[in-house]
Amino acid sequence: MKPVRFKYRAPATVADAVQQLAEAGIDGKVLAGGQSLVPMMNFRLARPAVLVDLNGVAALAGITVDGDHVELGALTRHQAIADSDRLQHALPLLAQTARLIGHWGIRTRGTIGGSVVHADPSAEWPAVLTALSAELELVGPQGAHRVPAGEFVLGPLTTAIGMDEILTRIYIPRVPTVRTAIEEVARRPGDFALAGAVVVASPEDIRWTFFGLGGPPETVRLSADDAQDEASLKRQLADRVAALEVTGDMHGGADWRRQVAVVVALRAWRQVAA
Amino acid sequence: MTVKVGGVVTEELEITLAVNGHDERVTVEPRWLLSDVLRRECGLLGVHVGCEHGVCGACTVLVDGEPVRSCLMFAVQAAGHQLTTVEALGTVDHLDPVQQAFWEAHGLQCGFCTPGMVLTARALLDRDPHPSEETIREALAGNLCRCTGYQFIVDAVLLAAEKRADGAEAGA
Repeated sequence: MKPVRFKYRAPATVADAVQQLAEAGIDGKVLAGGQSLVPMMNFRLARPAVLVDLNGVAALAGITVDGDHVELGALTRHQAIADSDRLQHALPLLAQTARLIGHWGIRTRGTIGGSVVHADPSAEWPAVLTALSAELELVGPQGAHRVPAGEFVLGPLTTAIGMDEILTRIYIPRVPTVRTAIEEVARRPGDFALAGAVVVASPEDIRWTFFGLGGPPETVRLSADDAQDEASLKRQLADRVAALEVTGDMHGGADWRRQVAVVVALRAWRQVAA
Repeated sequence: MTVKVGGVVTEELEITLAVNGHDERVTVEPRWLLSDVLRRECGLLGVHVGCEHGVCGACTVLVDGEPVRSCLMFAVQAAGHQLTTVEALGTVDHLDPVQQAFWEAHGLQCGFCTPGMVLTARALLDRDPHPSEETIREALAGNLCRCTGYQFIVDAVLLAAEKRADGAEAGA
C-alpha cells in the first residue's frame, strides 16, 4: 500500500506547471487534491513517473463572484465551496453540492477541478456544471481555451482534456430566473452516489441532469406544462430515464438505478416547486 | 538530491514540517505518505494507519486546523502547513477536554480509531462550539469505528462541548 517511486514537481505558476507536464510526457500526471489519485497510487493502480503538484500554484485557488458569473479556481476545495457565504448567496446549488461530497476530511483536500477531470461517473460536479452551462478553461502549451462542461466528460474517467493540458478555471453563469436543486441516494452519507439528479427549472422548461448512472452526465428536458401534476411527471421521467444508457454494479442493477434516478429527480423537483 | 537506494536511483528531498508547534527537519522520498513520515521520522505513533486509501479516517491529522487524511497526502506537500497530531492535545495527567470526555463517556474501546476521532471532534468544536447531535454525526461520518457503535462517541463529543464551555466560563 505504498506508491511506486516518482519524480515530484511543485510549480508555482500555471506556465511552469504546463511546461513540467509537457516535459514529463505520457508518464506525467497532475496532482490536485489527491483524494482519488493517491488511493490509486497507494494501490499501485496508478504509477505516474512524474507528479506535477498544483497545490503551490496560487493562481488556481479562489472564488470570484460578480453580477453575471461565478468563477472558481480549479484548485478550490469542496469544503471552501461548502463554507462560502458569497456562493451561498450567489449560487446556492454549489454549496448544496459540495456538502454532498465525501466526508469532511475528504472535502478539506479534494478540489472541484480534480473531481471534474477525474470524471468518476458518480461525481456530482460534472453533472452540476453541465446543468449550470459552465465553461472550463484548459491551458496547454498552445495556450488557453474554453470547453462547455457538457462536452467535457466523454465517458467513465475519460474527458476531452489533452494530455498536456491543465484545467485552470471554471466559469459559471448566474441566471437569476432559474431555480435549482440536487438530490442523490448513497448507501451512507458521504459515499459515492448510486444515482443523483440536478434540476434546473426556468419559467419555460425543466432540465434534470443525472449522475451515478455509469456514464457521462445525461440531461432530460421537459416543458413546464409537463410538470403540472406529479403522477404524470413521474411517468414522463420514467419514460425518458428508460431511454438512458445505465450501467449496474454490485450495489444495484441498471433497472434499479433507473428507478432511483426517477425518485431523486422527483425529490429535486419538489425542492424547486415548493 | 538523487541517491541510490537498493540499487534504484531515487529522489530525496529535505523538508521542514511544522508539527505540534515545532519544526522537524526530515529527509523524505516524494512518494512517502504524510502518515508514514509522521510515524517513522517524527515518532508520532498516535497517527494510526488503518486502510491507507482514505476510507477509515484513522490517520486523520489536522492541517492548518482542518481534518485531513494523512494517508492521502505526501509528506512533501505538508511543508509550510501547521500539522497537529493527537500528541499535541493533552498529556496523561492533563487530558484535553475532548480526550477527557471520550474517557468519561466511554467513547472508545480498542482505541484504534480514537486519535482520528478526537482530532476531528476537536476541529469541529473549534469551528462550532455547540454542535447539534446531527452535526456531530455528520462531522464524524468519515471516521470508522468497529467497536462502539458510535453512540458513545457522539455522547463524548456532546460532553466535550459542555466541558469546553465550562472551561471557558471558569477561565473568564
